[in-house]
Amino acid sequence: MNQATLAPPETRNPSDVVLEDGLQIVGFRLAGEEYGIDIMCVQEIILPGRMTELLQVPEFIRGLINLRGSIIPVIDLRMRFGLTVTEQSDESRIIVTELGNRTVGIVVDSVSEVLRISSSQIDPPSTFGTLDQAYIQGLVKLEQKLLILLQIEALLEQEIPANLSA
Amino acid sequence: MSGTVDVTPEFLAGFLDEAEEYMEHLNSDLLAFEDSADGGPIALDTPERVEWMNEMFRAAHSLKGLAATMGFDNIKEVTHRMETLFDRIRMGQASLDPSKFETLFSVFDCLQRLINELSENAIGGVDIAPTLEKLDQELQGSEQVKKDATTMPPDNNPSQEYVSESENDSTTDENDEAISPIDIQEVIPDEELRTLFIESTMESIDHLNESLLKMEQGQGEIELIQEVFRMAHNIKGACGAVGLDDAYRFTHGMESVLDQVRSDAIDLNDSLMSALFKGADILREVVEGVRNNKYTGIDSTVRDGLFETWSGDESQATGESAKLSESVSSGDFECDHDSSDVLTVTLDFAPDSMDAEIQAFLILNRIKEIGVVHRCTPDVENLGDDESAHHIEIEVTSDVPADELKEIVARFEVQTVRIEGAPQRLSDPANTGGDSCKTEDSGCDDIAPGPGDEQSTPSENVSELPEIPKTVVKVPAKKNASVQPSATDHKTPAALNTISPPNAESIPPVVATHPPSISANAPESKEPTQPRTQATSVRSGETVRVDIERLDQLMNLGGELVICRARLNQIQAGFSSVFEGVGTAFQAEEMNDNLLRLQDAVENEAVTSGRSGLAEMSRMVQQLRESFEPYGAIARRVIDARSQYHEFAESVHALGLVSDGLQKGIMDTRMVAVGPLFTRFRRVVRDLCKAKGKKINLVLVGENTELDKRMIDELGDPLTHMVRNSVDHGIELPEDRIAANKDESATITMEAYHAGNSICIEVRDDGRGIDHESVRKKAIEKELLTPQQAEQATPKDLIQLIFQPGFSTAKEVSDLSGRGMGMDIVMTKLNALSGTIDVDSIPGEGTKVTIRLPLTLAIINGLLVKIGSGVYVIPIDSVAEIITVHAAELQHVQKQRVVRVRDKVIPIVELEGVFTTERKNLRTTSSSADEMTLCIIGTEENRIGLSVDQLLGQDDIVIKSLSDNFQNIRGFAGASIMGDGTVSLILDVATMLDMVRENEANAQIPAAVGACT
Repeated sequence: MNQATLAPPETRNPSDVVLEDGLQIVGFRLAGEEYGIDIMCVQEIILPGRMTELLQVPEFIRGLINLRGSIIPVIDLRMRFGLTVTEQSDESRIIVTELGNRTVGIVVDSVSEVLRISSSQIDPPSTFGTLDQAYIQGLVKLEQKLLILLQIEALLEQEIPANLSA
Repeated sequence: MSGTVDVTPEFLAGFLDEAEEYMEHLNSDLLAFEDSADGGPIALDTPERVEWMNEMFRAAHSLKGLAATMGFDNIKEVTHRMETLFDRIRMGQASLDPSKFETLFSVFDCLQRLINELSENAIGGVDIAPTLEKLDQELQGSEQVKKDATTMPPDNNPSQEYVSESENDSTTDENDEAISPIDIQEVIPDEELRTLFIESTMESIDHLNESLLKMEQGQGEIELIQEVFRMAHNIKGACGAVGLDDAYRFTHGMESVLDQVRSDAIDLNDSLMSALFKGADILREVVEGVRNNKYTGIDSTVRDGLFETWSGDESQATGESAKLSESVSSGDFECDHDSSDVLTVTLDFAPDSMDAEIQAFLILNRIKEIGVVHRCTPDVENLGDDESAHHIEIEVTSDVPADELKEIVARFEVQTVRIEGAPQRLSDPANTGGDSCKTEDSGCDDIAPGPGDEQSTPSENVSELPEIPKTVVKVPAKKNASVQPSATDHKTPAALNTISPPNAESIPPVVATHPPSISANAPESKEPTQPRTQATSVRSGETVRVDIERLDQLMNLGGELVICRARLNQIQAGFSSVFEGVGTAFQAEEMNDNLLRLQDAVENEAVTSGRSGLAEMSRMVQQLRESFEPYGAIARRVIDARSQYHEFAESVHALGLVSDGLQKGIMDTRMVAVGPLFTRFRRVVRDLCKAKGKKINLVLVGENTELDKRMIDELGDPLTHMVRNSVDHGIELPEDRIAANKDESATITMEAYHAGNSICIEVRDDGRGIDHESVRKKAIEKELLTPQQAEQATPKDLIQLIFQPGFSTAKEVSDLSGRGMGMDIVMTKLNALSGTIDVDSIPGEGTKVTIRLPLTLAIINGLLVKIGSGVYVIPIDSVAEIITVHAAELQHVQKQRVVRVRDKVIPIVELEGVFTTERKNLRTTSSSADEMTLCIIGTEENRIGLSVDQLLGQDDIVIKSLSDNFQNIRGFAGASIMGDGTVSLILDVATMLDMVRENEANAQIPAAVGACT
């Protein structure tokens, strides 16, 4: 395998995840901003390896990778969000997300940490920024910073509809 | 009838999948139309619109055909009208104005509901009448616009007319009577048993159908009748075993008739044959009902009707119909004791007899045919779970003399038969002689043993015991022994009575010897065993049924293994270069030795000569040697490692062999003979013949040819179209055939055979063939060809035209075929299966359609090519040849680079010309060089030369679908994982050709219309 599989940042213990009303999120960075997605969507985090580029698809679909025998598409969130596209660095990672019966990878600048937050820390998405509101679950207020909680299902459902006949 | 879906879940799943696809086409195209609407009527004035309409039409048509084969009449009705409407719009006979969208969308919704119903397995809840009405209104509206009215008769009461059109009454009037389904989980609580029952019975029914068909042709060969009889009997036994009483009785009636046929008591005639076919259908319905938990019992009117036919036929010969149908349909035994000549038939089966119950049924049936049964103990027809049929007593009144009766019964597989006159019940001590201890035991159900028996019974029981099978005997014998001293003698028969059930099955004796209250365990432990024996007796050969999902999984894993091995090979190659110069490791050891010797020599020299310089030198050599020591150790380890590496290499090699074998094994497992698929068409052809009044003999050749199960599943649809085409258009009516000096009955041959790495399936008929002239005329009429083109077209070119959507030379459109969509659908399907099709036709002599398919869908032989920065796979079947051309050989035609290969002009295509993409990695570096490599791909009629940078070789490629995690991309058949773990895309050549054509058309509008080949 080209992608060394990294251990998930923290073991997922079901009893941990179901906090009173909180959730665990995987934090990652994208063009200097902090984002997060629900850990329940995350299957694993891998190093980016060789990707096979696709044709006839939007540019932000970076290509296909071989994840232990499954062929999964990888989406570049920078391109998707219209941010400047940079070369991959040592810190670049692919977050492999599992949604329903599909597995999709997303390229991020780096993965920071796993956070445990309570729902009181989440503000509903407001009307700023360039991101389509539909993809934002909310803003998470942390002590030091703000984190954009992505609604990854909505994002992927939009990009890779269940059965698009080309 | 509500709720009965007459297809297997497998077919249903296939139907739903396909239907979904068509629905999506309909939906997206409808939406596209609406989007492009600007208020007024929409003309089909752009290629897109034409394509949308064609696609919608194709979708409706496919859906209709699919529904018709499955017997989903509701869907067929709706789609038929839909299709007609689309067809008129397509032909410009009706306008597509925005007002129609509402109707079309509501029709679409109705269809979707119907399909949803099927997927939820609860049909009958959707009322299609309003939808049909709307559609008919639209059709009537368009009728006025339409110039030549041939397709649809205007009808005022459409829904009724169409309902009555459908062949059988069974599935249409779903709203009328809703019979509440019998909770099958109650009848057969055990799921495993249910599955077994369904599978084995289905198999029997298939077999039955097949034999019936053969019988119909061969008329009365005795082996066939035996076979049919046996199947009916098996089914009956199975139904009885799981407690489906009405199905049991039904099959029993069927069996009785068959028995009459077998014994030449009645003749087989057409009506009887039809009744038998109908019977087989009903049974299939029953089993399907069980499977879907929608079992509603057999419709009594249908059953009675059939029984009438059956017994009516029978009455001609035997005059006993009344008796038969009565005993059959009621299932009760009359109890008018006419003790004058009541005979008691006592039967014992071998204790290890697995099918005692069946045999008992059989015997009872046979006896019922020749007499009136008053009593049967235990009641074989309603055998409880904890009862055994190994010992049976039947009281019967019959004209048949006792010894003859005995002879009849003895023909069955019974161990002992005894026939006595008027039963003296247990008072006759003679009964207890020989086997009769068991007789007495059963008798205990009714009458307590007489006091006179008390002395004799126990002792005789003990003496009899050795005759009971050993496994069972041991425990009861001990029990008896312990019971006997306590002098509760009269209990012994009772105890034995509870013992007797376990004789039948291998239940632990311990359970059986408990009094009935405790033996409540018995049914539980017995249930799985009993049906299993039942099922295995039905099944032939030792086979295991495996969910195809699991095989798919195995296939995937096998593919993984192949990939892993390729990686290991690469790693091994890396190692082998490391160990290439390993001889130096030996030198390192030698060096150490040399240094040691040098040190010794210098020391000696120093001692003998006494020169201080030498002593210094000796120390230096020693230091050198010491510092070198670890290298010696490393060298030794390298040597170890090398031998390890050799072992590794050997293992990799062994792994290679194993993975090859495994791969092949898994492939073989997935291979299924085409026989069953072919056999289905016997029925299709038969029904079509009946409907069309044609006489056709279907010949199947090469039924044992195997191909991938998935492929078989996909082939049903295209083959149906091909066969229907043959029957409907190819074969002439009998009188025409006679007029043409041909045999009155036509022959359609379906043949499967292997050809290299692919499989060919031929459907050929000796019908009228494709009339070139009418194709030519039609082509001009449809503006597919200009008159000049048509004049020049060769027969081969003309035949290619039949693959054009909507091309048909049929004069009238039936609900079966004639719209000309069939071959287009076949073609589309085959493309999806990466197959090819070839049509050969001689006017007046017949048509031969050959389809050629890869052996499996999961693995293809692919050519690996490098284009730009990517590696792509081209299915080798699509590659005609590979050529290298020099720049000087290139020519230009209308700005298109072409090359001549053996008198054929082949356009040169760059991958970037096919796919529109921002990415710049598609251009071949060789495109500007002096020499370029071209892969000539495509069909014989339509070839292009794909320019590639480098040929990387050819390999077996495991196809992975892109839609698993992503979506299908036009132009690619999927992706595969290469030996180095990277992903490569597999080119879909047929679609690529389409795309090239489209790009050309877009580039130079207006394009010549004649792009038909």
